Amino acid sequence: MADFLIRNNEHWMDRLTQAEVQERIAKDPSFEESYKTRYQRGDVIEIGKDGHWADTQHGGGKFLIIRVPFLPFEQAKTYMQEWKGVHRRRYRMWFENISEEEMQKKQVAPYVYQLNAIDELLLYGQDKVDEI
Amino acid sequence: MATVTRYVDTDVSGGAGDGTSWADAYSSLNAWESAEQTNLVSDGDSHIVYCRASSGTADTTNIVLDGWTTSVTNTITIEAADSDKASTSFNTSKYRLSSTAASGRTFEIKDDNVFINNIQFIHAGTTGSTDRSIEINLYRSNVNIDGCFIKGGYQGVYCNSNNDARIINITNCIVINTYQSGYDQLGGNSAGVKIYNNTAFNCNTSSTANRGGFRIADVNIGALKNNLSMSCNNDFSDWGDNIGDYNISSDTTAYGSNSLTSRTATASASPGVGDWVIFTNITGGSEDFSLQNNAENDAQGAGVGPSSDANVPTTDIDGNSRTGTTCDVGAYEYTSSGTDISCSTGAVSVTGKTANISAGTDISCSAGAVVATGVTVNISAGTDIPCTTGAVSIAGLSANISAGHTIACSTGSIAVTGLTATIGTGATIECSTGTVAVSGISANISAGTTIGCSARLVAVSGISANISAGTTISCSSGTIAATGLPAVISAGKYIPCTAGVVSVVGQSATISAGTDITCSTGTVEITGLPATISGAVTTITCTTDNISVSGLSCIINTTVTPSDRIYTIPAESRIYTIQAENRVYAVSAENRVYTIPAENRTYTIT
Repeated sequence: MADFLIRNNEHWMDRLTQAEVQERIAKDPSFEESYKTRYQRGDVIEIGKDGHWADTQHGGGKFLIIRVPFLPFEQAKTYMQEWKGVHRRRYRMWFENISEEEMQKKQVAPYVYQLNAIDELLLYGQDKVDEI
Repeated sequence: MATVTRYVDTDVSGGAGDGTSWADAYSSLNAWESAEQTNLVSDGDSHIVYCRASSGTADTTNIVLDGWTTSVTNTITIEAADSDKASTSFNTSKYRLSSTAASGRTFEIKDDNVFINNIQFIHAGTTGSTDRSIEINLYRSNVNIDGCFIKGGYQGVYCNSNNDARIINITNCIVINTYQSGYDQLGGNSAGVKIYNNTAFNCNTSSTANRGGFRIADVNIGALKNNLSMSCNNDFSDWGDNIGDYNISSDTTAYGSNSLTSRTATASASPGVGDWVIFTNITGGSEDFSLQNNAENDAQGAGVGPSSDANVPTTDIDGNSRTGTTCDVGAYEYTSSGTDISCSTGAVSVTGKTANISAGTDISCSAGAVVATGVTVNISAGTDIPCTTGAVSIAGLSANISAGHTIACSTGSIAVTGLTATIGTGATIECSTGTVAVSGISANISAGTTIGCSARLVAVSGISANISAGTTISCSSGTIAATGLPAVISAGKYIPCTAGVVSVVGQSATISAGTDITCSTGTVEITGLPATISGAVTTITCTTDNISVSGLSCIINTTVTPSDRIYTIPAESRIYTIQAENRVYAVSAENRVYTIPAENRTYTIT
């Protein structure tokens, strides 16, 4: 009963070296938070009701559309929580722990996946902060 | 430097979801922001995103604008589509950012060089202290909010000012029904914070002390002028610093020698003598904060105009023009239809995505120029534009002069240019010594149009150039040219051309039935593939010069009086029919056969 729109590409700030990051922070201290809270691959961008996004609306691969038909929309909205000063979102898909084979099993269209259980999203929360 | 354009439509169905067109629009502004964040400076771009709700669905995801790199020349603009622009009434069929109670900030701005134009916001929150529609983050600069309508929430626009130099412009906005301040934490020890021509109504419903319609946080605000705060609990709250001028309040808090206080908001067209601000509608849920035109309306003309203060925005929330030394206070500038614009030596310019000169407007321009430019340019019925020595130019993707216009140009030029350039039924264009040009991919002069051109050129050119039925084009000594693919002069035309040239040129050049072309000393030319003069009643009279019809297929299918016929037929195409009594034979001697009656025969006998 809910669809997730997941960011699927890297952020331009990911290409900055640490020296470049520090240089920018020196010029503008607010950049530090902007850098920490930049969108990253796997971040939950938005939650929609079942079928909110058509199979084609993945933005040319900028997004993944994850269909979770068993999850009520109101419950799914909790995965949109912000994480002020730490990350843009508290929850993201943990691609690092999802094998390509597993992903392919759940694929229903290019950049579109359907899951049967919430654990399959491998959304991390606060307990995985050390692994971020 | 390029401008990257993207689209958001909350009701988009299918498509690619990459924002590159309306068909492929992002489904929310948040999706746009997450997908498009970039370093605009290194990209060399500016970015603009247009927002609409083609079926009225609200955009319900809060947005944090952060993660971009911008500059004063590499900016981000978020703007409602023309159909969805905020106006003086909140409209739930238009695009709006909508937040639920306790959901926090609807739109948090954490980047510099941002423009937010004509967006509606609605927030259901009341007691949640971060339930704000717009929050400008600390230290952000060159943030410009114009023409937005904000309804509800804890605060409307929160500027987060502090003691640093920053540029914040808030203009032409309307904020209503907020729990605390409508416009909060304004200031910041910077002459760059400018708050002009905004409206606040029924703000600070909680009656919190030191809050109000406008809450000024620092004495060193740049300017607070032409703002209208009515029916708020504490209209202007400034900690006693006495900020601002040319403002109006319903209480006594509007400071400045040109400000007005203790005004009463009403929607009555006849409130009687008193201190009134007369809106169109102030009924809860149906508010319309446009101003009524009324001698008792103290908001009219009470503000400082752009001629006296360059910071005054030259258009209001609806795009109505503000000019001169005075203007109306608040987000709306009353503009009547039928405005007369006189311009002796300067220019009258109407420019915009939609540039309209409404019905009944007269624009007289003695020596200057009248220019109307835009994606859609309309000069409506009944407008007269006399231009003695200057130029009248109407240009745009769709440029229209509607029925019933008179455009008189003594020595200048009249140009109507566009992808669609149309002069409607009944328009009169008189040009004594100048040029009348109608050009475009589709250039049309509709039925009943009169174009008088004494000494110069009337040109209709384009991929489709049409002069419709009933048009009179008189050209004393100039040229009338219709050029295009096709070029058509339809039935019923009358083109008297005394000394000039009538030229119809194109892949298909047609003068239809019933057209009269009179050319005393000039040339009538019809050239094309094919070139056709149709109809039994088409008359082409050319007294002392040529009629030329040339092309792959040349057809003259009309009646021309015998004395006027001039034919040029190649020898190999000539067919002669000579009656017997007119025949003259030349027979060589060896072929002659003589028959002589007997009585005339003379025999020589040897």
